[in-house]
Amino acid sequence: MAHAATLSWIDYAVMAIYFAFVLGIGFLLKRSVKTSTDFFLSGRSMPAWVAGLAFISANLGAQEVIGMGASGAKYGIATSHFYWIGAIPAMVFVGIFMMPFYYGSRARSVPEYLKLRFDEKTRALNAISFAVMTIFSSGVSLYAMGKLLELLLGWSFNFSVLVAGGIVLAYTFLGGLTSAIYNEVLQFFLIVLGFLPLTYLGLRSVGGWHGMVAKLESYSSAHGYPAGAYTHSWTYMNNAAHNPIGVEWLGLAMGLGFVLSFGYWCTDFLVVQRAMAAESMTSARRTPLIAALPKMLFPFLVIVPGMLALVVAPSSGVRNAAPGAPSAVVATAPGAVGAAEASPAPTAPAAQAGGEESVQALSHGIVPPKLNPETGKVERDTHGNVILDYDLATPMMLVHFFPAGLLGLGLTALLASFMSGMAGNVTAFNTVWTYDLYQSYVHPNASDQHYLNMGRFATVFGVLVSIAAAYVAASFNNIMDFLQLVFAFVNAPLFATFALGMFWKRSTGHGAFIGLIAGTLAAAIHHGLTLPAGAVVGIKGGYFGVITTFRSDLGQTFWTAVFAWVTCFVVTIGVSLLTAPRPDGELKGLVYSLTAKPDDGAMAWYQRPATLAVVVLLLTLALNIIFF
Amino acid sequence: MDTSLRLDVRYPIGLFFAILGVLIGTYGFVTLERPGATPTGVPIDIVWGILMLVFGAFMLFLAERARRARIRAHDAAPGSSI
Repeated sequence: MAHAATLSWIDYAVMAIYFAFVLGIGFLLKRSVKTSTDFFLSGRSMPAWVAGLAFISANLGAQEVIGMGASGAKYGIATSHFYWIGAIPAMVFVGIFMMPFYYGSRARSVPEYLKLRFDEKTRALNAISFAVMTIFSSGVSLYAMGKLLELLLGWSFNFSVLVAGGIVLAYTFLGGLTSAIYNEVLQFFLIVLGFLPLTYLGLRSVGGWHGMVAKLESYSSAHGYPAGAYTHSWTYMNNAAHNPIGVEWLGLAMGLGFVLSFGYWCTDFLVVQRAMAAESMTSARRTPLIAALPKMLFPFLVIVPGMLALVVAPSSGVRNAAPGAPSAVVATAPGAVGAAEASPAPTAPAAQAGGEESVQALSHGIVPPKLNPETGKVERDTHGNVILDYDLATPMMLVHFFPAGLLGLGLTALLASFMSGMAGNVTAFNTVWTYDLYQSYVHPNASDQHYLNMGRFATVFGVLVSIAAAYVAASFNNIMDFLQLVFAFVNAPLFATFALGMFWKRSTGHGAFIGLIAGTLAAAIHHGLTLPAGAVVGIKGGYFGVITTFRSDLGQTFWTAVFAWVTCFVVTIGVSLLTAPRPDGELKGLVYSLTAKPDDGAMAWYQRPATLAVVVLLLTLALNIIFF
Repeated sequence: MDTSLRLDVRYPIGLFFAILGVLIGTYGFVTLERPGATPTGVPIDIVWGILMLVFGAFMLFLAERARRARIRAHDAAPGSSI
């Protein structure tokens, strides 16, 4: 298959320098790792700004850069809901209200907090599901990277996966969490500086922001939506039929803004681990708040390029979009929202097959139609509409606008996003495995050196399993879809467990355990009884019989999450009231009403985390109003 | 963890972007006349190379300033780690 870009020596040089620095950081930090606390928790010594940028960078993986660009092309500026209500409020909440428990309890992991607050079985359930999910997420991310580089640059899938996996292994093995965090900070700046020119050049090519809005209004009208549906985030959320996301405001606010958002940012050890590595309680509380500041601006970095890909002229860049070049399935990581979806507009008569001319005619801007990887023909939905390959929106922008040199920077930033996500997964996995599974159930009273060695072994094991998972994903796409579905079911109810655990001292271990299982089952039942419009019964839902049809996948996902959360919440309360609570004395430092509030009185008002939180929320509100 | 042994992350970040800035900026200058070197009329390699160099230099400045502050603090209170 033809590929979209050929690299020159300068591009390879940029990549080589990046790899050298990443590995060099690992080697330089090796000497500072002496204990298991150094390896797993970075010695609890990170300044707030370093932990904050690592907090955001660990989440800045494949789904962020590729998936959000894809969603920008697919849904427009409304994709920013994944940031402005789907992340920022939860990040503020975890910083102000939850970090005192995570950090103050001296728990070494999120599952360990569950053990301290509830009991051993609740910890085991969370630790096992998290370890499995984390390592498979890492594998899916690797698969997506290998596939993308194969399509974009013609690189061997095996080469990409093994080299990226090997580099992540080397620097996390040597320097543990400190090395991962340092590299995540480097990766954060690389991703910002690598993608920012994309927005700038793309906007210039379409006549600035107003030019992009005008073109998207035409596109929106042509697709049967109100003119502003792609450029307003809230205006058309009154009805699911009036916006490309296919969700109404209540489902969005409850499903994404509350359950999924708080469930991820407040309970996922992958990100919480970065804050737990902070040097003090105040730094730990500031970590998510500092992360929220750049996070709220990320739509302009990752979503706008996707929107631009839909409307830039194919002849506007340094090289024309290669017709018929990269266009095939690129898997997105768990939680990713970008995916191919039918586009009703382009139905050029020439579009009989996947020939180059027809592919060019069927592209929107520089977003190519999706080609069947086996037949090479353009894929269409059941109504005969062309399916666009939105996952290629951002990569096509890179090869379209960046000349040699900057292309190397952009592709390195893309690689960095995959690697930071993978390193985040691997470091979270090795900690949960060593502390919550191995130390708890296999070898409880070993020396610290033993656990340090086990952590390094778990790092090797985690990377190897990730690579194996990437090959599983390459061979059995449906298995990965299934796993992602299971992950969603397990994650959805988690925030109910944590919220009750931290803010209701009467909640018990039996209540939490049974509530979690009930919530997961409720998610499966809701999913099995509903179906997105146009989907086939199976992995998309409806396997117990279809009683409701949602307008989009996201609508179904959001309401499944709400259903799971409410079930977990109610069942946890019910079972807790029927079982014996723990004495108050055992819950000090673990429950809000029994924990001394952090005293910020000695700090100047502008240094207090609460002040930063207010600033973050006001800025987020302003962005919502500006793009309403 | 003995943080005195640990690298200030601003050093590698500053050095990385300074090197990239010089490399990409110089390459952009040398290849300015080549087709495609100025997408939408902007010599982007040169512009972005300079910007990265400035950013890298700023990070190195911050790291160096912090190192000197630690040395001053150490001199003022002998026995503390740098």
